Parts: sequence; C-alpha cells; structure tokens
Amino acid sequence: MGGTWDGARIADPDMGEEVEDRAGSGLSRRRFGLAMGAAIAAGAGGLSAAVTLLASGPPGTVGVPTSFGAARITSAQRQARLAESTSTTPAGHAGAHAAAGSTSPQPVNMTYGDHLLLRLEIANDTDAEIAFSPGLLRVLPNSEPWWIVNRRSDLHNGAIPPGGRVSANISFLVPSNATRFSAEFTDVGQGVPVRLELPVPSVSWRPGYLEAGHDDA
Amino acid sequence: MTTHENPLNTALDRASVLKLGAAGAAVVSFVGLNRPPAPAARRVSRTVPAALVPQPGVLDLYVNEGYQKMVDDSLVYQRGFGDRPTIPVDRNAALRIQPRVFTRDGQVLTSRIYPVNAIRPNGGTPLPLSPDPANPGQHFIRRNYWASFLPNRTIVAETGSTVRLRVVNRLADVHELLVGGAGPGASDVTTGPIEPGGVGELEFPAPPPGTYIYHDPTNAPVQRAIGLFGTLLVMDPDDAWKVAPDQASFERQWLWVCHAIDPGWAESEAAGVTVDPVARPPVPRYFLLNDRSGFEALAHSPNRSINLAAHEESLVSGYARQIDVRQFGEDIDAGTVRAGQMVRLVNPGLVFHQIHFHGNHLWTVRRNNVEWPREYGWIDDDGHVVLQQWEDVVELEPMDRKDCMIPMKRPPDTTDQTWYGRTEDWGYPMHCHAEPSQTAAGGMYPGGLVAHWQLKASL
Repeated sequence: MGGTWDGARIADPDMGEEVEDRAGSGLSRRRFGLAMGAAIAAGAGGLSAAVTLLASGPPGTVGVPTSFGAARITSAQRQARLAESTSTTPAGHAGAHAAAGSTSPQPVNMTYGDHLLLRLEIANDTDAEIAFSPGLLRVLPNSEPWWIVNRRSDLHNGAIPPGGRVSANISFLVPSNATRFSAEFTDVGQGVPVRLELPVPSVSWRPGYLEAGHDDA
Repeated sequence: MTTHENPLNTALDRASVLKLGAAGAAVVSFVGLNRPPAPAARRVSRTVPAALVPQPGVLDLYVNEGYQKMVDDSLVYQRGFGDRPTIPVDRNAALRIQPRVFTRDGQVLTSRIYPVNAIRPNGGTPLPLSPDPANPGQHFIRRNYWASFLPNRTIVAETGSTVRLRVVNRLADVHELLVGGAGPGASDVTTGPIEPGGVGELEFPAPPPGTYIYHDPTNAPVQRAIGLFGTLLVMDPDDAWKVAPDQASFERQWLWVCHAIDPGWAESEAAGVTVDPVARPPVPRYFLLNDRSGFEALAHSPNRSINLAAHEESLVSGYARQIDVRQFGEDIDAGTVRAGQMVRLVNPGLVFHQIHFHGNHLWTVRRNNVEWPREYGWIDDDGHVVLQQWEDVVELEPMDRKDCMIPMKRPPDTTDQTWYGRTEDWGYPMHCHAEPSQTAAGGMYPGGLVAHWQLKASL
C-alpha cells in the first residue's frame, strides 16, 4: 500500500525521480501515471478534493479542515519492531492488543519497541501549491511526554498541486507501553504555522514485526 | 551607505549551550502537554511580486519568508536573503542565494566555484599531481589548480571590486543588511533600516581578503537566528589559493557555516510577536552545517543531489601529502605545494561550537581575518591562546570566523604496517564537542552539526 499523489507531480525536482523509494513501495513513474489518470477521472465528478475527504472515509476516521482544504488519518496499525528471536528481554506475547499496550521485544539501545503506521490523507482546495512533508505529522503517546517525529514515509517532501490530494504512509517508532496516541498536523498553508489535532482512528494490531511487514503494509 | 559599530551580541556562552541540552529536552518534552495557544493565522497574498529591474554590477537581495525542511522532515518557518521575491507558502521560497562573485572588472557572476575558471574537483576531491616517491602512500599536490565549491548564502568579492547591493524588504517589519567589519578601519557597513516594502542600497569597496558575515542586526540575534545571514568571502584574484597575499596557501578551501534554529522564536516572529532574546533565551532544536544536518550533512540521504552537494561543499577529502607548517606555500617541485586544505569556519549561529576532527589536528592560522603569530603568542582577555598551533578542538564563538588548515597528512599514530597495507579510503568523523549541537528535534542523534572527512586511498 504505497503513498499516492492524486493529480500531483512529484514535488521537488531535486527529490523526485532521482530519489530512491524509501519504503520500496512508493510512487514509481508508472504508478504516478496511474495516479494522474485516477485524478483526472475524479475531477470530472465536480466535488472538491477537500469536500470529498471531509465527507467520507473509513469508519472511525475524522477529517479536519485546514487553511487550504482538509486532512485526515484514515488508518492506524501497530506492530512489534523486533522479532522475538532478536529480543533483548524475555519474549513477549506477539498478539498483545494495542489498547493495552504491548509486550514486544525491546531493542538493546533503549529506543522504542513498537512501530505505528499511520495513513495520512490531505486535500488541497486552493489554486496554489501547498508544501507537504511527512514531518508535518507527529504523534504523542500517552505513556511519554514527547512528540515523536516520523521514522519513515513512502512520500518525500514536496508540494500538493492545486486541487490535488495526497495519501502517505508515515511510520513512527513508539513506546510499547503506550495505550493511546494523539496526532498533530502542522498546517503551513499560511504565513504562520498552525498545529491541528488529527483524531487517530482505532489502532489495529498487525502480526509479525517491522522488518517483515512494513514495506508492503 | 552608513556605518556604525557592532551591534550588541546577545549570543550564548558555552556553559549556556550545554545547559540548553537538558533545558531544550525538557521544553520539548512538555510541548504536547502544555502547549501555548496556536498563533493567529496570517493570510498571505499568493501573488508573487515582480523583481527589480536588474542593473549591471548590482546584486539584488530579497528579504523573504517561507518554510525550510529540517532533517526530521518538519517544515520550519524561516527568513532569508533570497535572490528573487517569493511568497511564504512557496515550497521553494528563496531564503538564500546561490553563490555570487563580484569580479574586479565589475561583473556579478553566479558561480558555485571559485576561482570561477579553475578546474572543478570531481565530487569535491582534488586529485594529486603524482605519487611522492620518497614518501610511499603520499603525493605531490597541485599548486594553484583546483577550484573550491562554495555553499549557498556566499558572496565572493575580489579585492579591487565594489560590492553593490539592493535589498528589498518584502516583510511587514523593518529589516536591515549589515556586513560586519567590512568598512574602513574594520567598521561595519549597512543599508540602515529598510521599511516594509522599501529598498535599501549598499555600496562599498571589497575589504581586505577574509571572511565576513552579512546579517540583519535588528533585535540581535533574533533576525539572524531566523535565517537572515550569509557570508562575504573576499579573495585576491592574483593570490586565489591563499587566504591573503603572503599568508597561508591551500590546495582548496572549504567554507563551513554553522547555524542553529529555534522554531519557537521563528513562529513567534511569524505571528508578528517580537521575540525578546533576553527574556526568552533561544532553545535551538536544529543545528546545521552549510544548511544541512545529520544524515543529509553526512551525504547519507536518499537524495543524490543533496549528497553530492554535501561532498562538494562540506565533506573534506583529499590525498595524503607532506606539509610544512613553517611555510605552507613552499614549493617542492614545479607546480606543487606543501599545504593542506583550508577550512574556513564561520559561525553566524547562536551557540558556541567546539569543532573536532578525528585523524588529523588542525593548524589554526587566523581568527576574524587577523593572522595569528607563529611565535611570541599571548593570552587574550577571554583566556584564549593567540598563536598558530595544532588544535584538537577549535572553539568557534557566535560571529567568529577562523581559518584552519587540515594537513591531510598520514595520521601520526598509524604504524608503518597499517599505512603501507592501506588499500582503501580512510574516513574520520568531525563532530562538535558542544554535544547538544549533535542532535535534532530534541534528541535525534546524530542529527545535528556533523561531518566527516576522507583521506583517499593512494593512487
């Protein structure tokens, strides 16, 4: 499930086709062509991208108006970061439910033991490009006071074109004892950055561990 | 053109920056729980204004605002002297200029290299002339041959040229462009305050060879810290491989510009709130070398153009050679020089840095364009030794400039067995001993002001 840019061009000429696909499932030139076609078809329907985004979505997801359109987190998955065989602590129960935290194996370097994958959708309803970067989305676990920046994304920084819509998988390393997450999106559609809270939908637990299951999430 | 004395420098001392590490972490940690109210939105025009009509021999700068991507992918509000007018939400907002050269014959050239007609070193690495038969694994170094790549924000002025600037203030408050120490008697030269929408003009003869900082002194150091700064590099075209006539020669030079960003300061200014730098000391969250941090500064980015620029502009590299610190320009053979590479350290940022190279010590030759003595040195009022010497760590105060030679020599503790058996490049880290500057986003390590250098394998 790679990221897509509907009606978009890969934003930064320095960071477009020359850039290697971080997740191995990003936007290839062929997929870009497919996305362009889909966007043109969608545009014929007459609804703005933001209206579409705000009006519908997977159950439990909430679109939030921005200065340029709308943003929404459409899915949230959580996974152990390490395989049990690489555990530095007694192996946990891989099937632990996200709502109760997890007992995932913990990395020896004291960093976080779980992996949270959010899918972010943004619609640009203006007649100008809007800057985008995966770092605009940050998460706050309820077990720590830290806002966490992304670990990886299948889309790089660039711009969302007028009327365009972007969908990106953005992953974070998160503490295993977290049972709830908040998310904020920085709206840079104006001269002053504004931070908006984006509701996080129900987090589903994904079996396996990060290295085996992230890239084709 | 008007001149005045140096503005009050409210930069941090070393103790403060070390404290910032913990304080910064603490502040970041509670942002989410006790967040200040969001600033009021400020609508911006999406119409890009026209640029000034160009004039021959004049460089036009635009005080712009916009968002700059940081190493953690966040977009941080910044200001800068750009080379064209842009709007804040332009994803390619012009916040710095490509390097420009004021030539002695009155031209203004756009060039990433200097001298502009010299040979570009591939990937930034100058190739040697030939092996040195008397010193296995070492080489003779070409004299007066290789160009040096320069980072963005650099203005080169050849001695004998006249620097002519027009500065357009595109923002809603007063700004200024000042070049520290570039006037008569090392006085400052400045446009004076430029009202919103106004144009300031500045014309001055190129000062003596050296490095100078141009910046906005308004409410110092706030506007500088938000990005309104750059470097003026003055070179003598007749001695283009020396820091100054009759002073140290080099194979090529590197311009290292340090910078620290406090997004909180930037966002307040963006919202129209004037930051009081005393009541609200900066808490830098990002530390940059030539506008790159962490894996991007180290050329480990997935973006090849970023990596190439880092190699060309920042990541020192070369071949082992014999050098003679008594006189760097000494010729051994026709067309060769016994010199290393010159690293010009410039700190327009907010914090003290402690630049530390592994593998070789650095030989510091000048500070703030004043050549240090080779003997009979002294201790200055701040307790610093003023004497050319080998330095393991080079201290760099805010607004300091130091010229340091990296000798590119066989590392002194390398045994013959290891040295003669060498078949590959040897890489060494460069890091700053002011440890908070090695992080980004309140803790990402090594996400800050970092680099490395390479002693290339023998040809």
